[in-house]
Amino acid sequence: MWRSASILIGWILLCGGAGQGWAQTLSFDATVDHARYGQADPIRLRLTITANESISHLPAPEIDLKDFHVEGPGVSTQMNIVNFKTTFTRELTYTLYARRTGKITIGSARLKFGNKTYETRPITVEIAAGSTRQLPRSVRQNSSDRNANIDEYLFVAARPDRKKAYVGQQITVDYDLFYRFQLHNVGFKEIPTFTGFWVKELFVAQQLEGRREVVEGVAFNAAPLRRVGLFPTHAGMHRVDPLVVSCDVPQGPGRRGSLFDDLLLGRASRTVLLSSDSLEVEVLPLPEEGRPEEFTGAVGRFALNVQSQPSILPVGDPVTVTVTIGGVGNLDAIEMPKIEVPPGIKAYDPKIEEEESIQNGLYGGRRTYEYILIPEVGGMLEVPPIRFVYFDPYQEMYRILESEPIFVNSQGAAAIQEPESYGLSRRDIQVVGQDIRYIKPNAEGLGRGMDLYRSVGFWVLQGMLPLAFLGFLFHQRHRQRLEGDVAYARRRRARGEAGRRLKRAGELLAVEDGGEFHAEIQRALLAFLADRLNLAAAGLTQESSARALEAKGVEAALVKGMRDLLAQCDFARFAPTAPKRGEMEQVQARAEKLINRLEKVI
Amino acid sequence: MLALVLLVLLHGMAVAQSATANLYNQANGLYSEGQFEAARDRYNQVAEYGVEDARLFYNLGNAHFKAGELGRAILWYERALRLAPRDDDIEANLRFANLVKQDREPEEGNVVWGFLIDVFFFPSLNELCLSFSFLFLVLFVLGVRRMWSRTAISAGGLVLLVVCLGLVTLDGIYLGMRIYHQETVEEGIIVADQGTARSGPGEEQTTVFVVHEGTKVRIARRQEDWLLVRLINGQGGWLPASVVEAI
Repeated sequence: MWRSASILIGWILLCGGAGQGWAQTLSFDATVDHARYGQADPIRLRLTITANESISHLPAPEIDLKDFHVEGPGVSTQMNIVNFKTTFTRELTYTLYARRTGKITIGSARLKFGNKTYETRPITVEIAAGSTRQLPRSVRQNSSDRNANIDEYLFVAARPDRKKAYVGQQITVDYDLFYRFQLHNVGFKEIPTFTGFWVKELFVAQQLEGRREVVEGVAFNAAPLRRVGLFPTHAGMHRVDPLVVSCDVPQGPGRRGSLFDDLLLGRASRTVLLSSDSLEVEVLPLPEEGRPEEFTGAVGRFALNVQSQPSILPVGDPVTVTVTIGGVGNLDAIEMPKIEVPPGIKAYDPKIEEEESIQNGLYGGRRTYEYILIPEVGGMLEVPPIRFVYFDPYQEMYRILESEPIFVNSQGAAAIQEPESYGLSRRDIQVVGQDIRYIKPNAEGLGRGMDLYRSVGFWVLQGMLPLAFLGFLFHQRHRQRLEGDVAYARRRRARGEAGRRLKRAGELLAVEDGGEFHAEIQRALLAFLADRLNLAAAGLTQESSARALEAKGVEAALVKGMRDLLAQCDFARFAPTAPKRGEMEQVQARAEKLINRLEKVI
Repeated sequence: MLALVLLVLLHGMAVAQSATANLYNQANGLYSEGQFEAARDRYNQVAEYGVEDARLFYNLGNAHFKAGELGRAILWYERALRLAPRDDDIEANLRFANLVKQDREPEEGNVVWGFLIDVFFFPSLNELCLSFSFLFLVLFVLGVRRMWSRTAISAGGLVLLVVCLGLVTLDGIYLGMRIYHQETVEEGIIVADQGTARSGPGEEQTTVFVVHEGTKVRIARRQEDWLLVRLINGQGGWLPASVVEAI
């Protein structure tokens, strides 16, 4: 089994591959099943494409069928192998319903295959009104005296509630299906466009729900299909296009209600198209006479209701004013009522809500405008009445509705205006353009350029700090030594002491007190030596001081000079004659010189 | 005698001060009347007196901007920013001018690096000098106080001294880096409509790249009437000195 199948497939492939080498042969034909039809009858148009190679990739043929309602096409594909020749057949079946009666030509269909275009011959069919088909026997039996016309037992009626209306007034059109036997697959084929009307769909049937209705003495089932509200947009004669419905009509012999019928013959039905009559409606313009200025086009019957909440409030708080216009008529023709607010009240654009309803087949509803008013000053503020004008087509007159005035009692003084804080019309700040920031303001004086790091003064100042710190450090160390080290202290003050004694000796010289002068010089020398060498001044003599100097390694000449001067002073102190002034000056100079020299070596 | 000399000197300075301030205020008036070219010339006059004031530089930038000289506007904003590195107006206008200019700013490669650079240039040099000086003085006072006192140093005092020493050191290093940058890195702005950078100093050299008004470059070297400049991406070329003005 598998083997034979694979051989077959192999053959097909072979043939297909070989087919490439053959000349392409393709035939393209169009046929219809009859030459004459009723308008309600389906026309079956068959396009047949036969080729010796695969045509599965063919595009659909082009065909012009604008005179028909078109269903389909249904497609069937066949492959035949006869004497090792494969032919592929594709059949496209269209179901057509003529849009008009008379002779209609079905244009030629075109098909592109390879680089060749194939065309079919045009077909002309003759379309008669109604149906040329045989009626179901049961129906024919029931109405045997009548002409066998499908209109007699199946039609669509379009019934307007009025044939004359004002602009904006609702015209209700009911489309009902009248039938006398079971129908299947009822569907809308063509929905009118209703040019010149604003349309509101009021009812669309989901399934047939028939009620009994007698037309010209014949009982029918009447099922509402559709109900539309039409609002003419301008005056004049208006034509309403027909509604086209398709449905399946049972066909063939059989007893009604028999199970056998339903099981075996139930499917034997044909599809017919039904069209309602087109309607003519006269639309009247709205009367110019007595038309109020505020009229904006609302037509119907409306009521006005105005409410405001709260009536007493602090300044700056919002008042909500709700204006409701409700009733029947085209809501879209209602324009926003104007509120004329007195100065001191800020009004914002309203929030609009709409609710549609259908009352007794008339379209309407209500529209709610919610205004926000904000009193910006205190006191009793009056908002004038809100007016709404409409035209009542039933009474053929304009009507003006007017509310009570609105009183707002705002309390308190005007606060800082912050309407944005209510979030009503808050929005982001819009950046319109970009520019650089503005210049800096005027100045009393301008700075001179100075880089601190380039100025010498700055660095000198920085340098002085560590120097000062170092100086302070040395001073501090000196002070501490003076306090802790006696020998150092005596050494440091030796020169000063000696200087003071020499100075006193000079004073004594001035008064020519020879004894005291020499004693002072001697004390100065000995005290200087004692301090520098850290010895007791009291026990110091010529000899002991000379030894101490020698022990320090002072040169002999200096030690001798010292001893000589001390000896001279000793001698002069106790000499009977007063020393001469010149000698005394010499002694002082020598002492000074000696101290200076000694200071350097000890 | 000395007092008299000082008085005359001070008075002279005050007169000069009010004279430049007057010119500046006049220029402000011209600017507000929309006479941007006249205002620009007046501001320039003040700047030629040696006045270095962020307000003047900023307004000068604005006047150049309004007079349609984008390059010089950016130049003066940059100069103003050096004196007042955190001025919001200067930053905003410099940013705006940089958006308007022809050459696109190279994008910041690294956010962290950009942030560090911002931090590095946050204080002005003078502010850094002053802060260093102040910290140094504090350290000096602390040291002297330590020296004066006869008690042993407390733990808190030691910490304070060490912290202060550390701060002075860090501030000193920071100041040194900034001064080094200031002295070694020279930046300039293209003030001509367009500058053709060449591979060497001379018109006959090969063209390397073209820069447009307002672009910031680093000036690496000067040779006669030519400057070796580097773009932010490191590319270098020689531009005629008249094309670039150092910040």
